[in-house]
Amino acid sequence: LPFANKDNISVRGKRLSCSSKILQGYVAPYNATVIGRLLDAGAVPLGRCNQDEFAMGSSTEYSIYGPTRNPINRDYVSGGSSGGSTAAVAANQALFGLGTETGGSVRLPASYCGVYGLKPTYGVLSRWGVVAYGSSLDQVGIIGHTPADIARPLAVMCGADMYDDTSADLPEGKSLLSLEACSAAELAALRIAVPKQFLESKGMDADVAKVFAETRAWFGSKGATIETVDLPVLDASIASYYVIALSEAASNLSRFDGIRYGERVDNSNGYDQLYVDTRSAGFGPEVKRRIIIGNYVLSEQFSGDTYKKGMSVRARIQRELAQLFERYDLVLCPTCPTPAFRLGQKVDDPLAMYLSDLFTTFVNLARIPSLSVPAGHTSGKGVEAGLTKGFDGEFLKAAATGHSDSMPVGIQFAGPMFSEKKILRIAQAWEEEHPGCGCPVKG
Amino acid sequence: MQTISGTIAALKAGTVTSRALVQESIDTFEADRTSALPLNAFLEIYDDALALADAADKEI
Repeated sequence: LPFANKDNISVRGKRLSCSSKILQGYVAPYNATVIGRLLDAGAVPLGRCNQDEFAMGSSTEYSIYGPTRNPINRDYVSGGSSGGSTAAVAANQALFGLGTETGGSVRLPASYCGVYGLKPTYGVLSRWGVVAYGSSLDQVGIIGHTPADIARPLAVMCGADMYDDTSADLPEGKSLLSLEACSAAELAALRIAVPKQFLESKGMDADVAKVFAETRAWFGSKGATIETVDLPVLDASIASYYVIALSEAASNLSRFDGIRYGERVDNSNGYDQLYVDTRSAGFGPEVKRRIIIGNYVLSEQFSGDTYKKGMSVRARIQRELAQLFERYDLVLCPTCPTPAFRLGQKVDDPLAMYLSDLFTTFVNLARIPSLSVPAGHTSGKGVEAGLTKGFDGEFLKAAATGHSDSMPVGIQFAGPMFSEKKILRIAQAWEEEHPGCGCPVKG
Repeated sequence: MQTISGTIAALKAGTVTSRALVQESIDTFEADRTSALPLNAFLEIYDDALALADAADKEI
């Protein structure tokens, strides 16, 4: 089974660049654990895919190789940072794809490209051989056309790894090889929480809100209990995320100094100048921005206070979500407040780009699993906004042309730690009533 | 669109080979790469993809 690999996951003897100039010429000396396990199972890594440089971005525009386009409308972004793997799956260039998440980099492109994207519980997939961004948040993710297409690679790759001390076994992981949809009785017994903070978000696109309302109505029609919950701490999740992620990034990326990896700029002015010249020439502007912010947050001037506050908010998010999941099975919310946007629209506006992650970062901070489900689409010529109904629907016909002005909308199914099987079974029940919703480009 | 479960069933039934699947993916990529507005999803197709597929076919 051919799969698409992200350019930050090591395949022995193959180039790996993180879509950065600084890693040009670098060849991975060993396989990432997830790659090794897939190879052992007979899967075939087809090639490496585009991404935002060092996975820092939400649109796959911050890449030295240029942007990855959205298969549904090639004037639109694919989302990021795992936009290459996701677009490859959506365009039927691979059966499934591997991406990585720090704050939504699998779910966001999955939502923009109209496929399923899973961010597993932190530790379920080993990070050995994956280039680090924010180590306490990083996790390998899977992109596929159906929940079952995600479950099978997850079953093969999951489990503790002696090379990654933060890795963990996934209960019932191997049973994911044959995923069964939730029964009607199980759906009716679900208790679903909808955070008020996301429901009332000011930046939410009207069509995204409509798809979200119809998704809630679908669960309601199955007998599930849906309640709005108030979690004020979620308002601080994106600020906390950027403090933690950028601090860890500044530390992790210090290893790219021109001595150990990739390209070196040596003007014979001593080691200090070699580091400066190499990093100045090798990193792109977004990576530099994040390293500078991260180092600023960690600087002596603040005595690490900002980082400590970020960690304190994170602890509260983890605690409050754990308490929430004592009463509910699922948190339901859109993957992103807006659908995919035009290429270039936000590339010079970092704040607008960062806000793409508004609904995704709480999942990474809480280390819980979440699946972006290609639930519906926005309105366009001859297409009304709403749930994607099937292969013969107007949206999928428009999507197959490659220049649809109706774009996909993803809804997240998030559950407590290690609830991957339950989430995927619920999504499979969704898929069976909305066949083809994860296949935007029919092959 | 092919799903994994459908593809595995076809591999087991012998109606498709791993090489054919990989070749189909490569062909789809090549057709896109030479189109007016390529996706730019794959940066590189690994040179041993077909050899790995052949090895997988032998195991099946």
